[in-house]
Amino acid sequence: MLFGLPLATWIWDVGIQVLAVVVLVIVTTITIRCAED
Amino acid sequence: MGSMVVYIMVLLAYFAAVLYIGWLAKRQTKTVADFFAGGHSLSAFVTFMGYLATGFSVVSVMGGPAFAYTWGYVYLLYGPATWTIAVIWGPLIAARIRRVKLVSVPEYFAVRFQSKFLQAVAGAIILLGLLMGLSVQLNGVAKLLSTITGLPFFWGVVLSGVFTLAYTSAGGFKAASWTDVLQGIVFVVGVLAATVCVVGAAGGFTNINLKAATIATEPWVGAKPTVEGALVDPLALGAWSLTFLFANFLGWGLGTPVHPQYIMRLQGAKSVRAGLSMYYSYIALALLWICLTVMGVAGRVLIPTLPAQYNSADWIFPLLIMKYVPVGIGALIFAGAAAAACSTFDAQLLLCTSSVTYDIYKTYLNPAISDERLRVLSQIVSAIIGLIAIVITFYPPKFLIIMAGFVWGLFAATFFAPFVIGVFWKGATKQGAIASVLVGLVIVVFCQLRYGTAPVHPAAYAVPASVVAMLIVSKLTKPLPEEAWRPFFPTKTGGKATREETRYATGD
Repeated sequence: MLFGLPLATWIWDVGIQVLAVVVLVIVTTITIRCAED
Repeated sequence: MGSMVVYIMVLLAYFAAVLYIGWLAKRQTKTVADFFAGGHSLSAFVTFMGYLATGFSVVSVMGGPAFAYTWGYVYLLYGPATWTIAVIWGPLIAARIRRVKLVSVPEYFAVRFQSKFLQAVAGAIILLGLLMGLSVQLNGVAKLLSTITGLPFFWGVVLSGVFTLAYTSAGGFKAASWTDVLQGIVFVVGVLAATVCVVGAAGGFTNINLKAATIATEPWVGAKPTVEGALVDPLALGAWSLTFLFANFLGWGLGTPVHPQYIMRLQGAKSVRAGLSMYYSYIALALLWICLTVMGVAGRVLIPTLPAQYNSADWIFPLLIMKYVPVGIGALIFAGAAAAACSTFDAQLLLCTSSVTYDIYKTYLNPAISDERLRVLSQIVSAIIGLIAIVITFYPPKFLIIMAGFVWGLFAATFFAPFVIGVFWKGATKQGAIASVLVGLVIVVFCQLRYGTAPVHPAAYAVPASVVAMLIVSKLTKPLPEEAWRPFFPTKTGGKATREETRYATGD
């Protein structure tokens, strides 16, 4: 439990959302750096 | 009565600001490329805010808290996480698509596959797919307006429709993008403030979760009661399965990076880099989604069962705002929710318009039309389509309701293969693209009409079939000349790509 919410919920519901955003930001940053403008 | 005056004053001030921005944009809109793609001149910040505002429609504002109110934290996995995972590869596709400046999404088919037929077909798909979406947004914003002001629903639809039409028809893509910046800011501030108020009223975050874990009431009168503990369980104690979530992802998720409204955001940007920055808006989007989820769960703690006059959870968001948020902030939030609807409406209206005037009329009926005349015609057509959307909101035709239900799947089934394979495989041919679009279209429509979206979304069959059709037919047919695919592929030495880019940049 963390703030009254089971750890599994933190991991599955909040964690996956946050992880997906982190990966997206990394992919975007790398693509921007490689972009030919 | 006093609070009503504040609500109306804030809404009027907001509407006036948006109309002013629309008028400013009109003065800078001279060509067709200006009207539909902002003259490919928008900064990274405007593109970022545009994506944020367009991505958040009234469906997410009203539907997100409603889902969390009914099912709990699983909403994050069901909606936001699925959507984010789906666009992880979006920047890779976007970087290639944006190498060529397009005025409309279907124009891609004319450039990459040298097929005017496919351009017109894609225009028709977008028009049919989004027409109903327009009235969904109008419906949402009108409901909000009537909740706040007590105006009849009819006048809510007419006023919000005419308001959005006024600035979009006048200023086109620039008006839509600049107003999106304002709408995005209003929206972000509104949701954050509302979350603080509602969480405070429910006794704080920890208290909300502890109490939510014990709730076992029916969410609204006549609904199935919630199982105790489900609201805080990652999968609502089995109410939602990972298999379902995966099928859902295959169904509409794959279409997200190639959804026309996002491709046009990308095209409106002044450079590839500015365009790609739109994906950073997911940092803000994720925060907002988490806020809306917590707000929904907090709403359940505050109101375990909705009063008898409300027969669906969709009412929870306006109810929470009216009841637990101070009137000044409440007015801002309603303006923000209206903003979410308007900014999705304006983007989709422009897509429908360009499909009619640029992809069908100019391509097939009047290729010689001047740029100036086409821009004026587009302004008139956008007003007509907007008026049709207003009428549809009152009398929705049955087939359009079906279309609205699976529009994301429709775009996945028809655009996924030609866009993704087209920009990554030089061997993709015109015939392959036609086969992939038609196969995807036929299967997705057939499965939708025959089986609906459950248990497996029709696009889950249509997308793989469309990919296979593209690969097989392309292998069997004559490859396209290098000038068709070259603009989309990085050059070995770096630098800009070719005369095609210049040609489409000037709109010749």
